[in-house]
Amino acid sequence: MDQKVMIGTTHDPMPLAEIGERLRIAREVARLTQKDVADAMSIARTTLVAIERGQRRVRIAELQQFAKLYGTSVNALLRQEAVHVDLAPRFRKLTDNNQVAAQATAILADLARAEVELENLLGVKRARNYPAERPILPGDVRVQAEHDAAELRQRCGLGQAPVHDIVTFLEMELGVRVYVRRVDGNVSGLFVFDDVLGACILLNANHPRARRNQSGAHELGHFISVRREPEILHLSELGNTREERYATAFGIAFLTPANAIKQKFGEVTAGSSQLTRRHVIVLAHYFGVSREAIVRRLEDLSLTKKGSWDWFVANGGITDTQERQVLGDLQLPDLYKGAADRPTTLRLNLLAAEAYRRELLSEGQLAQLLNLDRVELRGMLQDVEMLEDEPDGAPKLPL
Amino acid sequence: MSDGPFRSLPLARHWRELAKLAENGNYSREDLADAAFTALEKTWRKDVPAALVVAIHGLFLKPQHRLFASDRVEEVEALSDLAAGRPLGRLLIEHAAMVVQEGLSGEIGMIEATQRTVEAWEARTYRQIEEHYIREAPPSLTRKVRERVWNALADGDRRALARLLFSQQGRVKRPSHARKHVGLDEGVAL
Repeated sequence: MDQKVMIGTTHDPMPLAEIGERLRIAREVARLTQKDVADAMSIARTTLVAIERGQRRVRIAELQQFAKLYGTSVNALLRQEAVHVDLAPRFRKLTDNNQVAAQATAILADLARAEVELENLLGVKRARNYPAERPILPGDVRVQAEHDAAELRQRCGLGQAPVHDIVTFLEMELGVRVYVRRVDGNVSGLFVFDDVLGACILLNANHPRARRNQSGAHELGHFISVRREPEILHLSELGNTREERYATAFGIAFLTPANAIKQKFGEVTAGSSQLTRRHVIVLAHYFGVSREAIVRRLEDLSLTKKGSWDWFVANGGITDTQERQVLGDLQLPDLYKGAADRPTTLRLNLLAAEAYRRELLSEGQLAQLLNLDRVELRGMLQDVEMLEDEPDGAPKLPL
Repeated sequence: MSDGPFRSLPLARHWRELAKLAENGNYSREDLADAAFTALEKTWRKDVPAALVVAIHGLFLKPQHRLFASDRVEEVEALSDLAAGRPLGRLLIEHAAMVVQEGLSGEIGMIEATQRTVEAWEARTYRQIEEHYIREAPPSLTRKVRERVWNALADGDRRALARLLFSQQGRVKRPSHARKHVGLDEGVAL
């Protein structure tokens, strides 16, 4: 017998179209075809199509079967606050059956979905301080990228100061969701914009901090110019499209503003007839970019001859050992690398703990939402409790 | 890496390397001279059979028992089979014959023949590089490469190279490499 589906705490019946849409997304996330599901449930494919279109009421028993097939729960399918967004199809044409890119997409989608769902449950509204979109205009994209990067710096009051931590800048200044996670292979970063999730960026924790900074700035370029188009940045990617060239130029211009570079270059190389490895290391450290990026930027600004980086590479490169020799204790610890091994982020942990404390979600629901087993979840909740000695969650300072 | 015309230069890898360095203004004249020296040395090792070097060595150093130079030239030219399909080997035989014709013998003659061979070969290669750049590169880059390669070849001590090549009597030794500038306080000229 058909039953009206009641959801959450509101007791409003959820529209059939909404249920159908959620089921479709859950099926696509589980990477199952309509035929696979229809066969597994011994129903006609046309019946499934009708359910997904909201043209046929779905029974509770069927819902349970769907949930089991899709590796989720009826609660997750029907909870009002549940976020049902599938990012995979948007990246599909970019991934080309690339397992690594698909894995990175899944990580980004899971983290963003869980965060938004917890925010919705708790009534937390993440501030979106997004800059205006700047569509790519005819003409030299590099000139436009320089201009747009300078405009954003001005808007955020950065002046000529270096941006050492692009993650904090994107999160705190612009309200972009940024996740730093280990991704195999040569994926440097992912960017996607969704009306529900907002702007989301994933950066590869396996890459050095300077490269991550550059990847983040590159993705920021996409966010500024072609917000609605998802993007996967691969290591050593040579931008062929105007969008890609714009993003690359934007990232460089944002992290290494021309005037700041000229000024620092003058200071660092004062009295020298050469641009040495020592100079390169100091400049790269100051601006928080890679040694290659700084030399190439100097070439672009005609502060050194074209081919300077090639010369360094041909002469043994500039090594990490040399960097340690020059910088010593000045080298900053990479805070994100350690945290990247955890299945969730600190912010997610705090939101989850709060939802648990308010009894909005059960332990089981939270574990499923965060893709953790119960032991991991309990450990995480204990960690958060230890942090929350104060009502506002401030960490306890050692006496 | 740059995408200069050196990539399509129809010569051996070490000559392409010289052209690549010539395109990049950050390499000093000394770097280029080293690269030219290395290219010539590698070409010699690849293109002059060890047996031919040993045979010419023997001809120049053996006591002269022939009265006429023409007889000795014939002896040199009889070595042609050893240089079959080896342009530089052929060139060495030609120049060795000329040197013998001029009455030079012993180590001096041998070094002279080698030096002339190397110089003729580098002139030929220089022309090939120049023509390639005229076809493939903008005039400013062509002028730059032409000048820098010319200087690199002019700066080399061909006598010393000839001595080196013949002192080894065809024994293959690991080719020398130009010194790399790996120091912290080394870099490109501003």
